[in-house]
Amino acid sequence: MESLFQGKSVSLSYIMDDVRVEAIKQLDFEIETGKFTCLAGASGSGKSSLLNLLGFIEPLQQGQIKYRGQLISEFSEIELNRIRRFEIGFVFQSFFLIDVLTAEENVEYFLARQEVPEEKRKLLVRSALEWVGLADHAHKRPGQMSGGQRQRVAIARALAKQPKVILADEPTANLDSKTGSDILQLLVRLCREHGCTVIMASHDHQAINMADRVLRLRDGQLLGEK
Amino acid sequence: MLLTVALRSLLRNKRRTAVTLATVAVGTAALFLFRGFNTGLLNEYRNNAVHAHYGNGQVNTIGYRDKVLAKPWEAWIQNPQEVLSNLLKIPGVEKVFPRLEFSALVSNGTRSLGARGVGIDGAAESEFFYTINVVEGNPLRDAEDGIVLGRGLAHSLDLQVGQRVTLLSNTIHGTLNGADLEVVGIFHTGSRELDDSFFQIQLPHAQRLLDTEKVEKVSLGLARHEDWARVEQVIRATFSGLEATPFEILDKIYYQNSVDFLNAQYAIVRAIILFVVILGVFNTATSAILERTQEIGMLRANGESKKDILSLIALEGAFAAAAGALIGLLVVVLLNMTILRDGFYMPPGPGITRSFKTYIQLHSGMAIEAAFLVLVAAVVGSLLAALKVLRMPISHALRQVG
Repeated sequence: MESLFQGKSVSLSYIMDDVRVEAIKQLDFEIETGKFTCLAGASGSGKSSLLNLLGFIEPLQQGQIKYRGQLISEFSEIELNRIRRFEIGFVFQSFFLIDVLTAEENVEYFLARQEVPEEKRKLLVRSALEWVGLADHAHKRPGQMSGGQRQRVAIARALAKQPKVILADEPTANLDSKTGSDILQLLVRLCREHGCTVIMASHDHQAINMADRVLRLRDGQLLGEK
Repeated sequence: MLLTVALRSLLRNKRRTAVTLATVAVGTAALFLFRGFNTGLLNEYRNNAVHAHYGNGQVNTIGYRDKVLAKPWEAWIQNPQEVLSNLLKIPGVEKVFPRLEFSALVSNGTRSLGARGVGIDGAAESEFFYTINVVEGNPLRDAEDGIVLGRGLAHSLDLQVGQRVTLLSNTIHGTLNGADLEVVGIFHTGSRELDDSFFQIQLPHAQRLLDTEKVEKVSLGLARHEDWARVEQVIRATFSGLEATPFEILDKIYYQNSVDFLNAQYAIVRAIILFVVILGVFNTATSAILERTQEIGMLRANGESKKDILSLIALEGAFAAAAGALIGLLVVVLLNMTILRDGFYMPPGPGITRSFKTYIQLHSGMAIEAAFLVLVAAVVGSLLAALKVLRMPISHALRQVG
C-alpha cells in the first residue's frame, strides 16, 4: 500500500502558561493511503498535535514529514495552501461552520473557492448533503441545527471537496454516544465507499475498534499500533 | 461566496455594525461638510476679490506689473477704445473696465493724506463691482465731479458725503495738477489695504489730472471665471504687447493666501478625521475579528491564504464603510437643504474687516472624495485589526476561545 505520510524524528513543543510542553518527541510513523487510521491516546498524548502537523496547520519544528513522497519543508506557503484547499478535508471537534451561511452554503463555500463550476458545485453539494442524511436541512443555518447535524454538515463539507485525506480531530467528543456512533459510521463509510484516507484523533473506544489501523500515543511518543 | 459571507457578516452583531456605520457616517459627513464649507468660503472670498476691485483679471502691457518704471505712463495702453472693443469680442468676456491708477494727495482743506486713486468708468463699474459695499452715499456711477473714498481714508480725513476734497497730483510731464471733487460715497470692501488708502474718480478726470489719453490697465468681467484660461490664451495670441493676469495673482495676499491657508487647514482636519475613523473601525473590527478567530483558523486550514482572509475582511469593511458613507453624505445633503439652506454669517477673516455670509457648497466630486477617503480609512482599520489573527499559526487560531 502506498504511503501518504511518513514521519521521521518528528518533535513538537510549545509554551503553555510559561511552561514548555513537549507535545511530540522524536516520533517515527507511516500512514497509508486509503485506510482509516486512528490516532489514539489520552488527553495530552500528542494526537491532535500530530494531526495538526499532518494538516500543515502547525509549523514543523524538528524532524521531517513526507506527504506523498515529498518533504513538506520543501513546499512553499502557496503550495501548502493549495494542498489544504484541494487535497485535505478537516472535521473538527467544534464543527467550525460559518454561522452566517446555511448548511448548503457551508458545504458549497470551499467548492466555490476551488472555482468548481456552479452546476457541478450544486451537484456535489446536494450529493454530499444526501450522503450525510441532511438533504432536508440544506437551508438551515448552523444555529438552527443540533450538534450531530452540524457535525454532519462539517463532514459533508469535507467530503464535497473530494479530498485525498480527511483529518478528523475528536469529531465525536462534543456529541452524545448515539450521534457520535452515527458520525463514526459516516467516517468509516467515507473511507470504504469513497476510498478516502481518514485519519482521526480520538480516545473513543468505538472509534479505535472501527479503525483499520491504530497508532497509540502517550506523552508524545508512539506506544504501539494495531 | 466571499461577497455573501462579507455581506451577511455585517448582521452577525448588529450593535457593532451600527457603531461602525456611525463612525464612518460621521467621518464622511464631517469631511463632506468641511469641504463644502471651505468651498463656500473660498467662493465668497473669490466673489469679494473679483467684484470689489479686480474683476476676473486685468490686461496691461507685457511686463508692466513686474518692473519698477521711471516713466510708467510710457508702458500704459494706447488707443484704449480700440483695445476695449477688441477685448469685448473675445467669447466669455462680458465687461471691460478701463482704469488709470495713480498716486495723489487728498486734502480736506486743513489736512492732506497720500492715497492711491483709480480713474474708472463709474457708470459701467457700479453694477459689476457690487461687493465694494458703499456704506454711505452712492457708488460713483455717472457723477462727473464725484469721488468715492475708502472708509478708512474718509475717516482719517473726517470726510462725509457731500463735502468737497482737493486732489493734487503730478501730470506725466512732471507739472503739478489739481482737481476739486465732491464726496459722493464711502466704500467698505472688507479689505483693510483698499479701505484705508483708496479712492475712485471718473476716468476722464484722472486722465486730465495726469494729462494723458492712455489707460493703465483694463479689468475684465467674465460670465464665468472658469473661462479665464481660455480668455487669457486668446489675449496672448491676439493682442501683441498685452498680457492678462488673473485676479488670484493680482490679489495674492488676500485671495491666494486664503486659498492656501484653507487648503492646509482642510488637509490637517482631513488627516485627523481619517485617523479617528481608522481608530474607530479598528476598535470595533478587532472585537469582531477576535470573536471569529476560530472561523478564520478553519478557513485557513481549508486552504484560504492570508491574502484571501484579508480580502474577506477588507470586503466586510468596505461594505460597512460604503453604507456608512452613504448615510453620512445623505445627512449632509439633507442638512444643506434645510437648516443650512440660507447660509450663515462668518466673522471677518484674515485681512478682512467685515463679516460676510457664506453657504455650504456641495458637489459630487467632494462627495466621491469624502466617501472614498473614509472607505479607504475603514478598510485600513479593518485590515489592521485582522493582522493579529493572521500572524497566529492556524492551530493556535483554531484553539482560541471566541
